[in-house]
Amino acid sequence: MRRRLFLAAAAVSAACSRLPKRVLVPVPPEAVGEWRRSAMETHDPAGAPPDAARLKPEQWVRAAYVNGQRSIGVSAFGFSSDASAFELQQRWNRGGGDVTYQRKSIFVVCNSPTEPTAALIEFIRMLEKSWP
Amino acid sequence: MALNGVKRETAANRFFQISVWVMLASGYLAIAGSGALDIPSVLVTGAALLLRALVLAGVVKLNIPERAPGIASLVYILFFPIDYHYLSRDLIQSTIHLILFLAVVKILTASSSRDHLFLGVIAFLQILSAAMFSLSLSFFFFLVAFLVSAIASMTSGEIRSSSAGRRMATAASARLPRKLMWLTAILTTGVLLLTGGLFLILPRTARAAFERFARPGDRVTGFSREVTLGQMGELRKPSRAVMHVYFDPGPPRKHFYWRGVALSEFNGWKWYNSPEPPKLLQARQDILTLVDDDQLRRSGGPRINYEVVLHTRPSEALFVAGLAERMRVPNSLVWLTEGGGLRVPFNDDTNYRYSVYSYFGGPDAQDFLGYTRLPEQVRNYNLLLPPVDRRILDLAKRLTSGHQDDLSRARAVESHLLTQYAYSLAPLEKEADDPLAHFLFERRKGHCEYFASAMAVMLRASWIPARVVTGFNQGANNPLTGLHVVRASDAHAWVEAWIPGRGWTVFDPTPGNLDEGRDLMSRMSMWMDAVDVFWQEWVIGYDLDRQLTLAFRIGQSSREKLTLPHLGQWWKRVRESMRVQGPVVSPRLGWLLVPAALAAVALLLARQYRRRLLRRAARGEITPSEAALLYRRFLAMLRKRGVVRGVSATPIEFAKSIASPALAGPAMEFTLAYNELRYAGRLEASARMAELLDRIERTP
Repeated sequence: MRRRLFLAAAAVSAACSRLPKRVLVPVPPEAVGEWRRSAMETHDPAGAPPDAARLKPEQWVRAAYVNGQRSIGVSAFGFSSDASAFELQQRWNRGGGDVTYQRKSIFVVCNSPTEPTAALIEFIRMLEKSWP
Repeated sequence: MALNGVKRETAANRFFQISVWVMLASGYLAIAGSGALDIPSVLVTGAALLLRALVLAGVVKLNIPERAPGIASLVYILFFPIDYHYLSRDLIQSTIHLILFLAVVKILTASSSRDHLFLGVIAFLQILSAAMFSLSLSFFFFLVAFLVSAIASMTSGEIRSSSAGRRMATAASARLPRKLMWLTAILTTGVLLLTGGLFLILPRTARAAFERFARPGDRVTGFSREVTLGQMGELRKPSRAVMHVYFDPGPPRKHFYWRGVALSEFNGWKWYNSPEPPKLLQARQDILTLVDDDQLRRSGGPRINYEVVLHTRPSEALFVAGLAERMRVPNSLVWLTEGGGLRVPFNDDTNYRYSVYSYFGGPDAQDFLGYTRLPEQVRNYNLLLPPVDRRILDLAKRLTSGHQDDLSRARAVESHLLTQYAYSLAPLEKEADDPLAHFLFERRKGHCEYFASAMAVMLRASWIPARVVTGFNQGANNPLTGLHVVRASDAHAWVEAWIPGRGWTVFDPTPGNLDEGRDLMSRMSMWMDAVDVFWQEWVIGYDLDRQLTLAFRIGQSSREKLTLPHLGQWWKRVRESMRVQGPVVSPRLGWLLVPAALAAVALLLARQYRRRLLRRAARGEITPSEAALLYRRFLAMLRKRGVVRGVSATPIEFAKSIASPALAGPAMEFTLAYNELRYAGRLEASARMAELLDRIERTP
């Protein structure tokens, strides 16, 4: 009986130690091609857009990139699991011309008041190579 | 003086020897009374002085071989490391032991003029040490005794040395000691007048002179609204005192920092704060309240009151330890800056004083439960990152991965810097494009602001709000002055990170920082600091206020000590001391016994002197002037038997007037012998005088 208890405790302990560690959103790169990062800030995840807030992200980071008068906004949401990030990738409303991608537990969305979708796609391809 | 081929001490020589002994005794009593000496030192030195007194009185003769003092000193010097490491375990204490031992050797063996000069120097060092240790009124009495005896030693020493070899006739004069006493009194008065004048004039001129001639760079310590990487290393090099602090009831037990300025913006080589309008603090009845009511109501955790004297104003910043709750400053205009720093603008006073009441308890999770996230604006302000080397971000990611919360992430970064890098005050050999990356990946050593910057940047890269704080390490308590001294070399930079549930939390990633200040140089600097404080407080800053304070303190002390309630309490304490300690003499009771012991020694010495005089008289060795002493003894014996000499009666008339047949004969014989010795110089009469005195004493 005592041996079983010991084995059960060891199994629980091993399982807990293998729980996925919370991954932080890395700092957005300073430059993406010719685009330079001009601002970076974090926000309370509780105030995230409804699609994201429903999945309870742990982090919400925003950055702005500029190239002359042109600008692109980047938001990244960090989740405690890959599944949540994937879920948001599926559900995100892209009606506003947003371009998104997901890698592991992080979901990234880009939009711009000045750039057409093609330019955003080009930007996000470059961004995806180095971040997150 | 030599008479009948027998070597005799001259009066001047005797006066000199006694004066030197009084010098030593006053120095010894002053330092022993300060409580700075341990019991063995008090006993050994006291015994040596007593023995010296007995030798001077002729009661004891010491025959110490010539080599013995040298060998004893050598042996003690070899013993010194043992005392330092195993017995005293304190450099100052063991050094005092060494000096006292050498003094004891010299006290017991002094014979030449040089030896006596050495004894004078020892006595001076004792009184100087006592001046630093002692705050009691008794010190002034010992100081006066020292001063009088020092002047007496100098005057009689001069006569002694000039008469050596020439045997001046005046040396035998019985009036010489009296003349010397007068000379001593006049010189002492002159010295007191001169020094009094100096102390009145100097305070009004010295400060102005120092301020006029001091180089501007000497006063700049360098804390402002920005810190450039590499600057703190330069600040740490000088070791002059920046501030002295008096803690009531005592300094905090755990390590603490003197917080000055918190800096939140970093451009890769400099920390700074953008100019923001500061918040003006309003004092109520001269008291500033710096925290909210919740903090003031908070129980648990020690609160300590302390007064800071900031000698040089490094900037407009004020430095506080712990969480400052209330504060009293001499200015009405105090600004609270971004990051919680305090500034007093438009004021560059030296020796700026302010009092603070601080909370020194640890963070209490209960206080921050409803405040787990900083306001977004403050949070993002403390997350600002300049363009930094990609390797720094990667290192931050590697160090923090696998940790579940911000506290453990911050500790991981702190631990990495503490263990993988070395501390160095050396400046960079060459200019680096990215000083932080150069520090982290190439040089791997630096001083505090490199460590603090690296940690703050890596924390920000991990989304933990962090800022660099500049100020001073806690400093050290100086046992000689009782003040906490903070030096320029204590200048320091550390990190404050926002940890949910704990608030702004201090992290210090600089290795080898806490153990500084325990080396030999530091201990020596305590002495220097004590001398400096003494100079600053009692010479430079000895203004009218201080004089009045001192006079008030002395007056109050003497008045209090002479009142019946005080004497009653004193007697109660003595009785309690005796009751509690039983047969063991308490230090307080021991001090009561000192005057009694001194009086007993004086009586013993006087008795011994009389016996010695009679013995010498019996041997026919006394001088005509000493015959007067025997005659006075004769008069005292008769007075005890009711026979009193009239004021106008000559010795012969007095002897004739004695009615008692048992006394009349011996008295007349004694008077005739006295006249022969005193006025005719017949030395053989002295033996008869001694014999007759003995007979008169035995007559009922």
